[in-house]
Amino acid sequence: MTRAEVEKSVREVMQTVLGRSLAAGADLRRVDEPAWDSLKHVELIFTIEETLGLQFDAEELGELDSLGKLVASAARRLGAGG
Amino acid sequence: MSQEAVLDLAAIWLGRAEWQPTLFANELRRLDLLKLEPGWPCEPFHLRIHRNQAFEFVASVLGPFLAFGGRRAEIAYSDYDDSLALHVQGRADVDLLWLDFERYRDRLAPRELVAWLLERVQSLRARSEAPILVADCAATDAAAQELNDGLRNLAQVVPGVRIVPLSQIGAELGARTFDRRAARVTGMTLSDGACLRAARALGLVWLPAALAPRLKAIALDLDNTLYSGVLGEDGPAGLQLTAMHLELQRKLLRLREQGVFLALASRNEKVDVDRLFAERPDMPLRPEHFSATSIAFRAKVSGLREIAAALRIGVDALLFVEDNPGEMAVVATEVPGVKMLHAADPALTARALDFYPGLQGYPPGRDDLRRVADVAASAQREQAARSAQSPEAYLRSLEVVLTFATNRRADLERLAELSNKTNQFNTAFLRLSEAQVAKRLADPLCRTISVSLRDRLSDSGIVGALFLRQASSTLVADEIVISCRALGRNVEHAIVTEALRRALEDLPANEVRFAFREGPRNGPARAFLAEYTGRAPGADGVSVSWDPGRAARLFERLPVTVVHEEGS
Repeated sequence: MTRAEVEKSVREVMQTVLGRSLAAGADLRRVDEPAWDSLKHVELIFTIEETLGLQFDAEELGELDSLGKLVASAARRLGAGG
Repeated sequence: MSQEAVLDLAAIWLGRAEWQPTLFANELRRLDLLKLEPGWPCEPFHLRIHRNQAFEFVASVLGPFLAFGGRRAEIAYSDYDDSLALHVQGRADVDLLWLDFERYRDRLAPRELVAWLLERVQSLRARSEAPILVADCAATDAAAQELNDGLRNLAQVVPGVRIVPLSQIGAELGARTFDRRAARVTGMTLSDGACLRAARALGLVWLPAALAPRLKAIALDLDNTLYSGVLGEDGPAGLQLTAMHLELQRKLLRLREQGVFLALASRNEKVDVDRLFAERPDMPLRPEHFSATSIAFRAKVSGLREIAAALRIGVDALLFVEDNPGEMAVVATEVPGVKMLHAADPALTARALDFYPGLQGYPPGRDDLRRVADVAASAQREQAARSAQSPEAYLRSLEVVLTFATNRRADLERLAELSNKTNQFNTAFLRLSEAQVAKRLADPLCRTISVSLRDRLSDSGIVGALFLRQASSTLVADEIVISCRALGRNVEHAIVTEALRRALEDLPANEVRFAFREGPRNGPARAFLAEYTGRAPGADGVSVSWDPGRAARLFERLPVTVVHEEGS
């Protein structure tokens, strides 16, 4: 899986879980999105894990507070390049 | 019906069929569930949640499961409250206790925890008449098992309480039941997989079972549903009966043992179907398992209507299992109200039977097993009625025994079930919950009489209930319900008269007033009241002066044995 494919999947999950559209290429930070509370954060994590078949470490869950960081961590775990 | 409405009904059921692979999947997927939006109207109900942990991970995927059965939940949450103060405001159609029992482990032994919960649930019962669901402990260690045993006992003690067995999900998922990572952020320890399964169990099974009575019958297609192949083309020997088909048929048999009628709705020649059962003894389902059949080379809509009529049930209590979407579309438009399951794949269909709204989640009733045998005896009764010289001779030949019990606590679930399921002989449609029935049983001004019926052909169990109340010098029959299984044996007068006579011994009155509410199918109740009182019931019901000699005169000519049972 390429990094672009990882980002596409994470974007789809975020749009579905948060119930909003995301502009192509734009990042989304948790601090800027009122719907992204702690419960939605865990739901996002669960759904990304299910969709991409990976598991984030407990220690980093709190740090994955933007679309970019979620994509980067997921891509690293999947060895996604490009 | 307009062309638009016809298309809508077909589209709705085909839309539901498209959801089946997602809802009944072995491994549920959150993203797939989150994408499902019903294209049909869903009836709202109020769900009040008393909790000490997050329910939101369940709630966010509860919608599609509820929508499959045509419902949506408006949820009111308590704070995260270990003390279970029950401070949630607003009305409830269902109350749910959603607790992380781990949080009490260091402070209370399982027995102490159950004793405390019993007091809390009784307190909730005192202020809410809604069904109460208690999710049990998903862990499977010895302490959790002791706790869950205690919860099951609690549900026996407090009326209208059901246990949602998260422990079953724990047993299925094993080590995957919990995910401690989320606890750091949200305080909840259930894994995503456990939350998804809990949403399915609640949305398809436990909430529908709390809100509506059970489906009464399943009408089954044969070709490519109970086996792979087409009987008329492949012949009995050419049909494939896979392990999943066997599993599907065995599940249907288990439902029959729980009192759900099975019926055949097949577009085949009768002679071919007879050959199928004769030449394929490996089919677990046998001809004697079907309480009604419609086997003919024609559209299935008339067959389904005939099956409902033969079983004396409304079409809305019927689930039609069919592999052909075209046939489903026709049934959706021609027989509105019939529930449908698309039998696309035997494994999925078998799993759907574990979850289909209205099939599971009901307490095992003492009368469940009797129901199927009772309908089988009805053909013999009809023969006896035809050959009898008079109604009295017919009754005498049946050797009918009516057993009356007053305010018997052990009958509570069946009394509520009769109030909720009976449509034809139902005078008021109160649809009493178990909590409401329990309140009447404890009220000194009320008498609730259950009536059991047996004859030489079968024991029908409790078939009637009279919910009576004294109001100054009047005895008010707030509701009288008699199961359609008892109708046709000419015992309605005996049931009502003897129950009133018995109640008037405790609650003397000069007059009996029958409350009445017009319903879609309660013509038999209206006709009975008109005949019994000599006047048609109006919006205020209908009254009759009580004649103390009425019962004696009735039973002089009616060859029915009357028994009164005492006991709690």
